[in-house]
Order: sequence, then C-alpha cells, then structure tokens
Amino acid sequence: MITQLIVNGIYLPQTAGDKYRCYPAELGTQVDMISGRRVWEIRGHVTKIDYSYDYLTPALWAQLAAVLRSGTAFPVSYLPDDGGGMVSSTFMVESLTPPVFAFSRRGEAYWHNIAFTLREVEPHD
Amino acid sequence: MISASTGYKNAIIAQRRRMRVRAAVDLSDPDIVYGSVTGDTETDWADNAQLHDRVLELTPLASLEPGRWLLDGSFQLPPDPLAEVGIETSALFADDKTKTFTYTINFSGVEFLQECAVYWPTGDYDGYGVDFDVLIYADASHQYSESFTGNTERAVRITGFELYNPAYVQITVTKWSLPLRRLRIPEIVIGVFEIWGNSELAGFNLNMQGAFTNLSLPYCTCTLTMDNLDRRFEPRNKAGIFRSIEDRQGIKTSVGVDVGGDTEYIPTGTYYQYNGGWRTSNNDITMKWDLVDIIGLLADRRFDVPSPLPTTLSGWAEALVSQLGANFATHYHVDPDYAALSVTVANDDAIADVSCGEILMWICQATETWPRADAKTGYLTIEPFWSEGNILTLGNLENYPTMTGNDDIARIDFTLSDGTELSIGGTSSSSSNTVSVSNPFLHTEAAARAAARMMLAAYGGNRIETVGRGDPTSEIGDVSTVQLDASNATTGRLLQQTIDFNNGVVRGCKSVLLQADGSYLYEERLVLTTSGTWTVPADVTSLRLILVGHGYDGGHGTDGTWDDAGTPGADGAGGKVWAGTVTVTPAQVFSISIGENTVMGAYSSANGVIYPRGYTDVISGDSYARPGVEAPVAGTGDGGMGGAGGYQGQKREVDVSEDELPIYHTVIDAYPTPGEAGVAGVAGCVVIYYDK
Repeated sequence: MITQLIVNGIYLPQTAGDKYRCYPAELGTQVDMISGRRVWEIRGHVTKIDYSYDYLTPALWAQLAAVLRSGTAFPVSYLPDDGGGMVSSTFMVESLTPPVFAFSRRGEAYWHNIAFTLREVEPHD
Repeated sequence: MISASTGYKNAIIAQRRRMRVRAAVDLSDPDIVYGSVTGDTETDWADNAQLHDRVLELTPLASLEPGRWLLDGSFQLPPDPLAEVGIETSALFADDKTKTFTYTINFSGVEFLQECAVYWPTGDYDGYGVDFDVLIYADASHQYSESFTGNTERAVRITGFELYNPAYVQITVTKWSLPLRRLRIPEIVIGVFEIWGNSELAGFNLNMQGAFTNLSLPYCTCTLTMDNLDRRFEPRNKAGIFRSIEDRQGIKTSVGVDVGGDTEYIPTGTYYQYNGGWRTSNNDITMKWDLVDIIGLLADRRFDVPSPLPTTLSGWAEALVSQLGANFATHYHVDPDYAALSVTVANDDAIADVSCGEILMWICQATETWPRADAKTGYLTIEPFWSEGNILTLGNLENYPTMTGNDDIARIDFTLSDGTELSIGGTSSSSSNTVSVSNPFLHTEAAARAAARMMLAAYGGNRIETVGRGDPTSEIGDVSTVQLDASNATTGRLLQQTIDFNNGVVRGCKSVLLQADGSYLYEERLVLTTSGTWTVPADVTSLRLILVGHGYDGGHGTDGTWDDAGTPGADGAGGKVWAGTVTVTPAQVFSISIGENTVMGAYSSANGVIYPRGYTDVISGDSYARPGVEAPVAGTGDGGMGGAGGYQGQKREVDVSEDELPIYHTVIDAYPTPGEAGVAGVAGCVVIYYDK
C-alpha cells in the first residue's frame, strides 16, 4: 500500500479501480468572439486530483468533510501521475459529490460514494 | 505598428494563446551620474559602462579558460563591439578558486539609497562569486558593508541599510565557484531593480492614447496591481521598497505570448512614476501603481527657457526632455526628415510661464508632426503620420464594432507670433465647437494653414469603437482595418487602445479608431469601377489618384486522403496599388482601363506594390486590395480566400469471423473529400480626389 493523498494532514486510504486520478489541466478562460469563434485564453496549468472511495470510517469522513467544506484552500500532498514521489501544493475543492447513507454499525452512521475533485490554487507553467 | 515576428503575430490571433506581461522595475535614482570604475586589470574588451545598462546576461566570448569555450558556435571571438561584457578581469582565479579582486564603482547624484544588487553571470561555464564583501560608502561615518560566504545565487541583493548621498560601491571577491576563471560581473544595480511577471502582477493595464490635432496632449498610462500581503509596498514599512520610489523612475513594460515552447516579448512602453502614483486598495491587500509615459511627465511641467533658444525641431525636443534631468537629455527621437526644420520663437518672453506640454503642442503644430512616446525606447518621438497598421477581424472581436460621430468644428482662430489673427473654416459651419490657437512658433499664414490642415483632418467623420482580444503590436497612430462582415472592412487611425491583463489573461481590450472625413483635404471623391474615359473638371489642376489592380485568386485546397486532411489553399493577394498626386489640366481626358492592371492614362497599378494587409485610404476610411477575403466585392481589388482542404477519410478494419480465424472487412465511415476551389479575386478601381 502506498500513500496517494494527504489532505490538510488527513491521510486518505489508497483507492484503486480507476478511482484516483492526478493530472495537469489548463487554467484559462473561454471567450466567444462575435464571429462565433470560441477562443481560449490560457492562464497557466494547475494539477487536478479526482478521488473517490466507497466509504470511510465516520471519524475520518468527519475530518475530511470539515476540510472539503471549509471553503478555503488547504495543503495537499499527492501522488503525481508522472512517476515522481509525493508532491505538495495548495489546493481548493472544485467539486464534491455528497455521500449517501450506507448503513449503521454500533450506532454510527456510515456514508458512502465519497467523491471529490481538487484543483491547485496557483497556476504555473 | 510595433515590429514582431510572424510567430508572434500568429500567436496573438491564435485560437489558444497564452499571454504574459513583464515590468522591469528600476528604482534607481533618475539623477544618478556614474563615475569611474577602478580595480584590478581587466581585459581590453571589458566595458564598465555596461555595469548599469540593465542587461543582465553576458555575451559568450571565447577564451582559453580551461573547459569553458564550447565549440558549438555559441561563443563569439573578442573583441566584439556588440558584446555585453561588464567587468572582466585579465587574471584568473586559482586552481582552488581563490584570489582577491576588488572593484570600486563611483557615482554621484543619489540622494538616498536602501538597496543595491550584484548580478553574476548566468552561464554555467562562467561561474559566480561564492565569497565576497560589498561595501556601500557615503562617508567615514556613514557606510554599510555585508559579507557573503558560500553564496550560490546568481543575483545578490544588499539590503537593510539607509544611506544619504552614497559615493561608491566596492566589491571584493575572494572565492569563485569555478577554478581558473576570470571574474565577470555583468551588472551592479545602485538601487532596486526587479522583473515582475504574471506571478507578481495581479493586474497590468495599459491605456494608450494620442491626439492628432495637437490641440490637446493625452498621454499613455500604465497601472500595475501587486499583491501587498507582505506589506512590501507599505509606506510605513522601512524594510519595504516604498522609500526608494521617486518621480521619473522608469518601468519598462512588455507583453509576451507563447510561441512554440518559448515566450516572445515585444516592448509596450516605458512608464514613469509621478506624484501620487501609489494607491492601496482592498484594505492594503493589493497596491496599485499608476504610471505615465514621458509625455505625461512633461505635460504639466513648467518649461525652463534654455539659453540660447533652440532653432530646430530636434533642438526643441532635446530642450523639452532635458527639463527632466541630465539623464533624459538624449531621450528623444525626431523623424530625420523633420529634425532640422526651422522652429523659432521671437524671444524668451514669448514662452515665459508655459508648460512643456504647451511647447510640445506648438512645435508640432508648426511642423505638421505629432508627439508620442515610443514603445521600444520610451523616448519622446516627434514624427509625421504613417499609413500602416493591423487588421481587426470579427474572429478576434468580442462585440461588433460600433461607430459614433466624431466631433465637428466650426472654425479655428489663429493668433500668429506677430499678433496677426486668422480664422480658418472647419468641418461643419453648424458646429458650436471653435478653437483658438495662439502659437508663438507660427509666423506666417501659410504655417497656420498647414497646422490647420492637420487639425481639421482629425475632425468630422466617425469614431469606431471595438472590444477585442488585444494586440500589443498595434500602436497609437496606426491605420488599422476593421472587418465588418465577410466582404467589407473599414479603416481608421488608432486613437486609443487598452491592453488589459487581469486574472492572468488578456481580454476585453478596447480600441478607438478615428475615421475623420478629411473634408478639408479634398472636396470631391470619385470611385470608377468600369473602363471608359474620364474628363478632368474645369479649374482642377491636381488629382490624388489611387489605382487598384485586380486581386489574385485564392489557391485550391488539396484533396484529403486516407492518411491526412488536405491543406487549405493559399489566400490570394490583393491587387497592386499605386497612389500618388498628379498634375493635370482642366478638361484633360483620361482613358480608364479596369483589367488585370488598372490604368488611367499614363498611370498604372502595375507600377504599384502589393500590400500584405491591404491598402488603407485614410481619407475615406475604405480599404482596398485586401488578401484572402471570403466574399470580395467587385471594384475593391481584394484577393480571394484560399479554398478549404479536403477532409481525411475514415476507415477501420472489423473482424467479422465467428470462429478463431479472423476475417477482416474494411468498413468505410467516410471517404476523403476533394479540396475546394479558392475564391476568385475581384477587379480593382480608380479612386480620384480633387478640389473644386
């Protein structure tokens, strides 16, 4: 087992089966010209991370939800897809799929189908 | 139009582009006078004047230092008069990289200093200073020194001091990063010098404008917005750089675009700090810095009358920029054909208590020129109009161009240097707008009429306003063409434009083009598009002619194949254009032939040239002989657009067997298509202007 993702100090379990993706994405603005032509003004590149997991323990999900729903940027260490070691940067939440109730065990609610996409805050070359 | 590579021009209008901005912030004292550089013996080609030219990279010069000279053609042989050298010692550092070299850079005119910097060579083969001391000396009791040990940086800032009237900087290097190398120093900055780019600049907004009447003096401004979270720009923060900022410090700006794997920059002007340029916003989170070009520096400055008075246009230009200090005395350029024009004023009293801006407008009125700040040098530039510019296509405009009426003028009332009064009619007698000009540099009625001709050429007609992606190669004064639809375009002289960089991209850039009707220039205009004859009207002795030849056909696109899509055909060039003013006699009959060449009597478009971006008739605002027009209209001489290339065919192999042995069938999804024919070019015309 290797570490894929640490969100604000929270170690997330390794996920497989096409549920972890880390890739560079262009950051920019699409603008429609009067002729109908659509142009793309590129601002730079950011790293994006897609992560999903069936269900986390209630305590872990509570910690993670607090970070993902904070509305602020947070530090993330992640496994890039270019073969290098863990890299750290500051990310923000681009999308968050609300989990659905799965089951209860020993009086605790378990939520599953957790999925989110993180986007690096500062663009770079 | 600012010159740029073809790659740059293509990248500016590409569907995907990445723009970058850059500001070279030079906060050294604008009145600094560099003195001698003393120290150990240097090579014959060392050039200590280059220590303060803000060129930070050395030219690779071949030498016999071991392992340094690469035999790949990248090194020049010294001496090279164009080489960037700076300090270069004759002697070498020892095998153990040690030896002591000391240099003293003397200067004067610096009132206050709180930072300086040493730039080492950037080439790995040259090395850099590892152990060294820097002393900044004002007098025996006011000096600051700092020692560096084990340095690995290529640029070292010396900060944390405040000295008034410093006299020299002394640098003593005792260890280099490489053995058996000469000490080389490309740049020593007495002050603050930084390059700010996309990462440092939250906003970069250029507002470029000019006036072609010489009746007002708008100037270009630049607003830089920086993050100020660390309070570096806080006036109360002594560790910040705020106290190093003073009037007349220049910030060179440039705008780049990614071309292939590199970024190409073109200059967009030098802008200067002036009173009250700093503003905080967002509770000091960001800092805005408003800067003006050299005309903005001069506009309201009181003109101190020099003695003796200049007598030529270039002499007055030099006198104007010299008002900004001795270091500005050469910061001007006058068109060589106009530089020696006689420009005189009766005596000192005639220009007492006037501003530099008034002097600038007056001398331009007297010479039929106009002033601007040059984008490349930042210098005050005085020259006549030109007739070239860019094309604004609908594919690069965010809104349709809007056209509004330009101001008319009823008359211009001149008062000449001897008190003579003269009134010249304007573009519309019904206009309530009149202008009074009292110019001590205008001595004759003929001079006043010449000045009026230029002023009136900017009144009447229309203004065209556009919002688009922004093109930094456009320059105020350009004659730009604006596409209106697939067939038509109009032209105007660029009066104002913005380059707006916000949130990391350039977009929403505004332009205003002036399409004055030029009614003062010629009273009658004819456009002939068929062959025949034309008779010169009575009393007409001079014609302005534009002969436009037949536009060329667009090339045929190549066919698509199974492997590749076809290549689009080349755009057809516009027809040849000949333009000039000719002398005629009343009732003279001219034969007109509109064919491959357009011929009027002895004059033919065959003797003209092909304009790569089409020919602009500034007077009417019409454009002719444009290349690659999608639907050219007969009579314009436009070239046709190249035909589209064919589509690539699509086929695939499908295994249709139902057992282990595969049987492949080819399924064709789409056949390759043939290339399309280009659009045919169209016939040209004769444009005739004359006064009744």
